[in-house]
Amino acid sequence: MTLGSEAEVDAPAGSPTTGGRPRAGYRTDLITVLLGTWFSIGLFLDAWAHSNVPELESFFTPWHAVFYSGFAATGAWILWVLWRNYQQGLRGLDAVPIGYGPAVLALPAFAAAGVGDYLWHTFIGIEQGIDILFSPTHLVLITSMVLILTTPLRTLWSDRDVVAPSLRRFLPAGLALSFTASLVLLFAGYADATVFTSEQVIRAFTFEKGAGGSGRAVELAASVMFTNLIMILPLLLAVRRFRLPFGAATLLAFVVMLLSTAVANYENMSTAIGFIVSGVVIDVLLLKLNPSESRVKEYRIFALAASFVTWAVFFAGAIIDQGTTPSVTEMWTGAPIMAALHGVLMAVVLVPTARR
Amino acid sequence: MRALLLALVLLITTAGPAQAHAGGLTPQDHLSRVTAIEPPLPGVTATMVNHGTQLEIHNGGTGPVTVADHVIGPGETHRFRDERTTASQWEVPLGTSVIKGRVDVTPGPNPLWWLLITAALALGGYFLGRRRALLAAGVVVVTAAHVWHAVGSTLAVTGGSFVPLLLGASGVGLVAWPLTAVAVVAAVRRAPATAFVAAVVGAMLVVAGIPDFDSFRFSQLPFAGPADVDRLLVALTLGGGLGLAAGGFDYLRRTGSTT
Repeated sequence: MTLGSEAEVDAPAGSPTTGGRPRAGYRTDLITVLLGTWFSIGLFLDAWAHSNVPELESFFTPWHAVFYSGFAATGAWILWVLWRNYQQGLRGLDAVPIGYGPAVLALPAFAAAGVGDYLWHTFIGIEQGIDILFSPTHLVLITSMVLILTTPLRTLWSDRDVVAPSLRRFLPAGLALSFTASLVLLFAGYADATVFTSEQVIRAFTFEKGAGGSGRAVELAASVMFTNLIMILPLLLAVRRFRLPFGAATLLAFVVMLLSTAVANYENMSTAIGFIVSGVVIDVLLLKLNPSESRVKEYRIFALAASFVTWAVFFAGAIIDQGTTPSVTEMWTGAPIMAALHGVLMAVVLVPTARR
Repeated sequence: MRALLLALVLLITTAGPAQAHAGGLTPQDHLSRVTAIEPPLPGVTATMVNHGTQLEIHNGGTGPVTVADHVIGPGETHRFRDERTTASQWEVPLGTSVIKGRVDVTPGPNPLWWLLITAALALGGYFLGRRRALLAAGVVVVTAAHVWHAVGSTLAVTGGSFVPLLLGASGVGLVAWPLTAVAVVAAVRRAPATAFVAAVVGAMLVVAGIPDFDSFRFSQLPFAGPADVDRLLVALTLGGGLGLAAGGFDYLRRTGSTT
């Protein structure tokens, strides 16, 4: 099967190819994203271990093995895809499927950052707190990981024939987008509202009004705003290009909760359930509003409503679970509104005027 | 193909530590050991475990004994780190007795010889790239060496579960080991993928073996078996892996595209 001047990589070996670079087929992208999932889950497990295993004495842990073997498997698979194209007579850049170029560069970058990180730990020291999230070698590692993980999204984005994919068709790109969001949130762990337990939510916004709020209140307020942007931006980006299938927002919430529950040692389950419920509601909003670049009003309403729903459910879940409200009403009623305003602001920035 | 080779070379030359010895034990020239319990306590034994980093006391006697503020009941075993055991001659009180020990220092081998052996194995591995079947056989040998090294390293650890430790020690072996079976099946079917899989497995095993270079220069290796056997396994993994990667890709380059 060919699409314009682009050949399908999943075509049988030896089948004729047209000129130009090939585009990876559905199966190729699905395998890429599943191997990327292995890679990411290794990192989630490592994040869990760093948060919950007190005596991590060795680099050579089972979760590191899952992480690095996931990287090796992903690297081997991408090399296989290139080799298969080479076998079919494609040379140079023509052997690299559309969307796979950044991943081909990111593989050695990741490996180089790995050795850089080893040297950093040897000569400068091992980070054990918030500094983990700011180590330059870690930032190169996570950036190259994101470039590898987002490959299926680039493939689908480049296919102009795809406008309203089914959930099955969107799955590789959707998983790529979801795991990327979760990795971004992992590296924003100092402002991650998803790891708060219901009890922590109630306690954070319970303080003497005259005292002006505790450090925990400031932390939760900042976390709500930061987490909102990380959760809403992938959807606002994706609806500029696709009419998202029902389930895309739930998938995003589910994958992000895989990470956040692991980091919180599964003590934030009621919070996680709240985010998944919000995902379902956001899917309904997507279905009803059909936001897009050409439907700016609906796009902005979607950004406002999706953000509001997420945080209204977040606080409602905590209140129901704990059987009480935080003492400072302004905080828990105002935070969802503030998040909604941030959502609209992002919508205005991303799509200033309707696309004619 | 050049881009493919470049990516592979970068992967080989720049990859971080992905595998070494299980349980965080590292090669070294010194080894702490217990020489005696004086006066002896009936049924109580003391030994240095985990490559001389932890003292293990087993109380096979009838009454409790106290060591480092910890009471060990009859039938119990206690394992702990104690900085005192790093002195050249050391003593740790054990109830009314004392555990005596010393740190032996043994110079390591000349690493040049092992690097030469590794280079020779790399050359041998490269020449396996002349035939598909030879490449598959090479993959089996090099993978077997890596598995043996990982299992031997795991068995050198006391006090941990075998499977998680082996998993940690395997690193990228989790991918390379199953791919070895793929290489064999591909060779039996005379598939062109044989050389590709051999090259990738070889590259992965080089990455897996890089942190084990230390085995060539230290005398005491955390391995359940003779140290020279472990060094040979590391040389096979590193040299053989490098040879297979180069030989496999050379085979692909010579055979070219199928169209």
